[in-house]
Amino acid sequence: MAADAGSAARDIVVDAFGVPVGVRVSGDRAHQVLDRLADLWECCRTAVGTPAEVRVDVLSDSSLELDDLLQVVTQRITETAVDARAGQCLMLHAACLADPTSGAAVAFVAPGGTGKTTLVRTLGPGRWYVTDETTVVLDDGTVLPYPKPLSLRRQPGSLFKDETAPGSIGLVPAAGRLHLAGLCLLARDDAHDGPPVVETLPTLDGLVSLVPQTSHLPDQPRPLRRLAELSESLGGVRRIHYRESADLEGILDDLLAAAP
Amino acid sequence: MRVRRLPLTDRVDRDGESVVLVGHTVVRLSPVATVLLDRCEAWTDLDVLTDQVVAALGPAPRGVDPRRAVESAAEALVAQGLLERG
Repeated sequence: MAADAGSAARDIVVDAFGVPVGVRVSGDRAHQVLDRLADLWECCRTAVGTPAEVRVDVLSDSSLELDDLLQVVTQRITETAVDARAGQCLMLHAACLADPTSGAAVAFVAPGGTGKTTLVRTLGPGRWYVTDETTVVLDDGTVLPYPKPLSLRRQPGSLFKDETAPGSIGLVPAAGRLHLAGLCLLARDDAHDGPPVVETLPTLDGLVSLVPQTSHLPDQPRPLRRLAELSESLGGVRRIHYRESADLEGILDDLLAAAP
Repeated sequence: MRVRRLPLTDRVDRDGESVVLVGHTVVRLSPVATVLLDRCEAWTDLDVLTDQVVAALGPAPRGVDPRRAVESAAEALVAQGLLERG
């Protein structure tokens, strides 16, 4: 991440799955916001002098709660990077963890607020943290990392969330090439009893479940056929019914171990 | 009633069924709907389509009127933006 300390409006550039996103901060708390952003985006650094491909403008008005502002900035960075890669790659609303030895990565697809960040927080330590939000997959199966800050609830059930640096909760970004080894749909259910149940979906059912959790899918050529080919190459999309994310560890390990 | 197929974004077929993408919307199609979509590139009467569905999938189950089943499937496809009615 590069910071320009010489102008009234200040910039940093973060790497969001290969998109250098410039964040220009102005207002009376620009210094404070930039300091926090530098810490929070520690795993998405760019080399000094990296030019921004796209830009997010932030006005740090002192009437705003800093943590609320930082959460909005994270969302804006994600949206801006996703829009910048429209039509160029598969973008899934999914958390992703990887094996540090093999680079095999498993994506866990789910709508917002249904378990992705909790899974990453629970199972991420000891593995590579790829993302808790947007999993980007190229045609050859390469996964582009996006180890963004995590939005964690202040207390269980709280509406308020704090942006949290990955390193502060024991998460480590990928240090090598990543390839997709598994595609799972999270189906968390408080009423689920017993160990997780894994259901491998027929290709068409998998597509129907995956498509709503993609971004800009129709902008790609042959979008459905590519998604079908990818899911079939991975042995199908797996829907996992579970209650506690800690119970998914064995499933994750099996998928990572089975990867070529 | 006659219908004609509208352009769609992409389509995947497996075992006589299909999933189509229309803009950002994904739609799962039954075997009847899949045959209908295949057979009406140009304006086609529902009676002709009914014969083609029966030829492709076999006779309708006991108690099911094939003409009404095809009409119902066609109405659903029109509502989903996959067919237009002429």
